[in-house]
Amino acid sequence: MRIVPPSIQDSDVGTSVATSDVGQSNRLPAPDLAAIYQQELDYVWHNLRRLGIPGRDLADVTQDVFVAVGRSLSDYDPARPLRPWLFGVTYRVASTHRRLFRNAREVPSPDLDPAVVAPSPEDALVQSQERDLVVDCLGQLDIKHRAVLIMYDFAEHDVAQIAEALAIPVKTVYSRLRTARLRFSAIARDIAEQRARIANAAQARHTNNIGWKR
Amino acid sequence: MKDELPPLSSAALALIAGDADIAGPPPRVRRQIWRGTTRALATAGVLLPSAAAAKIATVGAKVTIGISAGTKAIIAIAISATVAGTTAGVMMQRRASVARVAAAHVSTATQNGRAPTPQRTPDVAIAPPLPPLPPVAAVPEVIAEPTPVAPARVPVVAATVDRPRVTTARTAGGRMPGAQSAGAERTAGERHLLDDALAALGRRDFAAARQNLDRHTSAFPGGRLAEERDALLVFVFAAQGDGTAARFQAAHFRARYPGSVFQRGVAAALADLP
Repeated sequence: MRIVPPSIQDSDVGTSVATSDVGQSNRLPAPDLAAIYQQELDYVWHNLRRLGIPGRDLADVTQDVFVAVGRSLSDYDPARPLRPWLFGVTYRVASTHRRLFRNAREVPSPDLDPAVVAPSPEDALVQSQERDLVVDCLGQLDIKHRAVLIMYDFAEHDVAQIAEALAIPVKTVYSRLRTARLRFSAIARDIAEQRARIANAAQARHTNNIGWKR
Repeated sequence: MKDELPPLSSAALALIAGDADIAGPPPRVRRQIWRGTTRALATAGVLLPSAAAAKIATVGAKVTIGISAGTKAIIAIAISATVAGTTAGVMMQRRASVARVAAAHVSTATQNGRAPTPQRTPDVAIAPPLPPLPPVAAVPEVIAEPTPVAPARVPVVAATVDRPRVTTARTAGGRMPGAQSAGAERTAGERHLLDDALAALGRRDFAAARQNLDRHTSAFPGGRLAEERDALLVFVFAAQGDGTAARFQAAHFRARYPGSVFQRGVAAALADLP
């Protein structure tokens, strides 16, 4: 969706629009942070989730993104669509967050946790339904491929916008997108088949129980 | 090259379609994020657009806690007019601005019962860090909160900054222990009346504005918001064009509140009276 920067209203105190660069009278007025926050919070939130930021950190990292946006708003050219630029900021903040050592937490291994070694088919089905399947699938891609896939197939940005937002050549975008699509499709297919098997097993177990009671 | 892209599998397309239905952050988290963002930017000294509101944010360091946002907007308008050095037509512009600000105030209050903030477009200006007020640590408290509910734009009420709050002897919620008392209800009642007066002023319904201010005077003669009430009275007289009453009330105000943050606004209101 193209975000049209609000036009300059009047010279009242409190108008929420201001020109970012006084010397560049030809430039459109930059949208203010509050307006961006209102309109794009969900966009940032969901893309951070897709980029693999865990739920416990989502609010903090979202705040980091908007702080970064507030700091660099003067760099944004209002003639360009907002969302790709915003995704670029989001991607960089998410990458930094993931790189930080303090954000690296130990993930309990199923092999070491007897509680999750052998769930029943019903439990496994419920667990798989409750998990964020998209995030699980995307999590199996590295972040560079993931970012391109999210921008192209989830956020529906075109390749030129992706290249500009991520500061990579267009050919690289296509290359990463090709790889990401193949892998994402395969992972999604595997998960769908796995869920179908679990559902069938649960159904079979349910049928057997009914037969035993009869 | 786009044609060479491999198609997504049906399972992948289903996942992408399902992901679009996932809800965003709840309202409480939205407010928290915005509050944290503005605080972080203010601490970093990042000055966002709306220069006039930024000036008010600086002045707002003197604003006592409890002054309603609408009145702060009036002060903002008056001070910005003074700062700009304009003489002719300032009063008319100020009146128009007051009407717009108050109209926004009224519409939001109407939508939202008595609490105008949740539906209000968030304030914009972020104040630079305030000078420290010994012995309190100088962490500015930005009032502005977002309302990420509707894309419709409402004229923004000027931003301001409260005096840094004393952190000692306060609970995590920012309230004194046991402060949920009649005092809070009393202040809420005062604000209710003043907000109504401000809304009426925005509609240029001077009689209603006076009526609300008179009710405040009789109900809360020494109320916490008496200073704001008396300033509003000057604004009402000035907007009404009643120079004699406005000047009389302003003289009374100056004598009673010599160090008031409303002084400049009151002076600006009188500046263009005949």
